[in-house]
Amino acid sequence: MFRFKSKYFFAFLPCVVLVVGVFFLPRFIDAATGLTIRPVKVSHTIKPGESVSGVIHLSSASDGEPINVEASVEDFIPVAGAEGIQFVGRAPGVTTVRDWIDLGGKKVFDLKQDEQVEIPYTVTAPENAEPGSHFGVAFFKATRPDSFGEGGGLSIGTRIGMLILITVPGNHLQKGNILGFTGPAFVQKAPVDFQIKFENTGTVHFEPKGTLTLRNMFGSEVGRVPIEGQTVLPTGIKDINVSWEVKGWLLGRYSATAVLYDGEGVAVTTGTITFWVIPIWYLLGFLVAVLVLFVILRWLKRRVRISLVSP
Amino acid sequence: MLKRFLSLEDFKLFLSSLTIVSLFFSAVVVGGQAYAATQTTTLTVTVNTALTFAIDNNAGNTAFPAIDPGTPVMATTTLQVTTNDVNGWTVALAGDDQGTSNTVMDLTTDASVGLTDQTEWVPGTATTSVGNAVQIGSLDNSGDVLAFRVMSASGSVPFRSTSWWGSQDNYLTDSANTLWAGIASSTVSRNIGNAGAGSYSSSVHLNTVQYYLDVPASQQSGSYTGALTYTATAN
Repeated sequence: MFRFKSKYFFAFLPCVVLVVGVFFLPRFIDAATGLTIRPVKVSHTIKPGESVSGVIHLSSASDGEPINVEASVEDFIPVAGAEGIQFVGRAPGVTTVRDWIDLGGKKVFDLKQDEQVEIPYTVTAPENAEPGSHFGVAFFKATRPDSFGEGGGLSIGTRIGMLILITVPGNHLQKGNILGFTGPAFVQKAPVDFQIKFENTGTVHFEPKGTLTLRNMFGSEVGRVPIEGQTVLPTGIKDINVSWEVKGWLLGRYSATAVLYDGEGVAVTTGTITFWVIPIWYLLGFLVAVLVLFVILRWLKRRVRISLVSP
Repeated sequence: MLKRFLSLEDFKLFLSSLTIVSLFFSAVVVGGQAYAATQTTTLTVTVNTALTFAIDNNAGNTAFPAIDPGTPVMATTTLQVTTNDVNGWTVALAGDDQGTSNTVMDLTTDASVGLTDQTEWVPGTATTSVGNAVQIGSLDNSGDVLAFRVMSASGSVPFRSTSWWGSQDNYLTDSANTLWAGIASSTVSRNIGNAGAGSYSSSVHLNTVQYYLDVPASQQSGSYTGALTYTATAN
C-alpha cells in the first residue's frame, strides 16, 4: 500500500494550490483599451491651392468588447527651446492646418479586437496660405462605455495621433545651430555613440542632414557616417544621435567632426571632438597570452631535452 | 629593461613568445577584416513607423473607493507605449471637461458641483527639468483636491522622471520625494512622459499613473464622475 509521508504532503500542497489558482480559479484581468497607428508622422510640401493625399492605417490594440473610435484634427505648436510639442486645438492664424486636413470615412466608428482600417486623408493648402511650417495632428480616440454604477469614477480615453508637418514654399529660412556635440572620452571598441544638440533657428521645420567624419591620430579619415532622419521644428531643440559602427580593430586617439547642412546645402555649423579607443580586454588578453606562452616555453626548455640517438 | 631581469636565453624566449602571440592576434584581426571585406552584398528595405498606445484598467474606467472627508483615497491607470520610431514618443494627459471654471469630476446629478482640482500640471522643458508638482502637504485647498502623478520608482526607465514626480512612490504619504500635480485642461494638454531618441527602446514602455483624492467635510455627497484622455504621439 502506498504510504505518503506527511512532510512531502505539506511540501506538495502549496504547489497544488498554485497550479489550481493559476489555471482554474477565475482571474480578474483588466481589459486593455488602445490603438495602433501607422505611420506616426508625415511631412508634405504643398503650394498654395494644391493638395496632397495619403492613407492612415489604424488598428485596435484593445481586447474584449469593441471600442468606440472618434477621429479629429487639431493643430500643434513646437515648444520653444525644447524637443516637445503642445497640442493647442487651434493655432493662431486666419487659417490653420486643422482647416486644411480632411479625414475620409466616418468620424465615429467601432473597432473590434485586432480589426484594422485604412483612413484616407487629404491636405489642401488655401490660396492665402503663408509660407513656412504648419503643424497638425490627426487624432483617433478610443473609449468604452462608462460602467461606474453608483460609485462614480474616471472614464479614461486613449488617444493616438499622426503628426502632419506641412511646408508651404516661399520666403522662409532653414537655419540652425549646434548647441552641443558630445561623445565618449574613452571607449574600448565600436560602436561609438555621439549626440548633437541641434537648434532650429529658421522659420520652417526641416531635417538637418550632414556627415560625421572620423579621423585617426595621424589625420587620416577612417570613417564617414551620414547624419539624417530627425526632423527639428522651428524654435525647437533636438538631440540627434549618431553612431559610428566599424568592423575592425581600433586603437588610439580619434577625432569626430560633425557638419550639418540646411535645406539649400549650405553648411549650417560644425563641431569637432576627440576621444580615445583602447581595447583594454584585448590588450590584457594579449599580455596574458605572451606571459603564459613565455612560461610554457621556459618550462619546456628547462625540462625537456631532445637528442638524436644514432641507431 | 627586461634584460636586467631576465637572462639572455629567457629574453630570447620572451621575444619568441611576443612574436608568436603577435602573429596569432594579427591573424585573428586581419582574418576577421578580410572575412568582412568579402561580405559586400547590400540589401535595403524601408521599415514604416508605427505607434501603439493602450491603457490597462478595467476596460477604460477607473473607480475610486467610497471616500470619507479627510481620508484620502487612491486609484491608478497603467499606460503602455510601443513604437519603432527611433525618435521616441510623448504622452500627454488632459481632462475632457476641465477648465478654469469647471472641474474634472462633477456630481452626476448636478454638473455645477465638482471636486476641487489641484493646480494644473506644468512640466519642465525636459524630463530632467523640475515641473510644478508638489508634495501632499503643499497641495491646494488643504489637500482636498484631485491630483495625479506618474510613478517614478517603478515602470520602464524611459517613462520615469524623478525631476517631475520625485524619486519615490509613497502611497498617500506626505513626502518631499513624492510629488503631485493637477490634471491639465483639454485646451492645453500637458506632457506627462517622454522617451526621446536617446532613451528609445523597441520594447513596451510601461508605467502607472496614480490619482489622489480627498474632499472637505462640506463636500456634497453623491457620485462624481469625470473623463480623462491620455494622448500618445511620436516625437
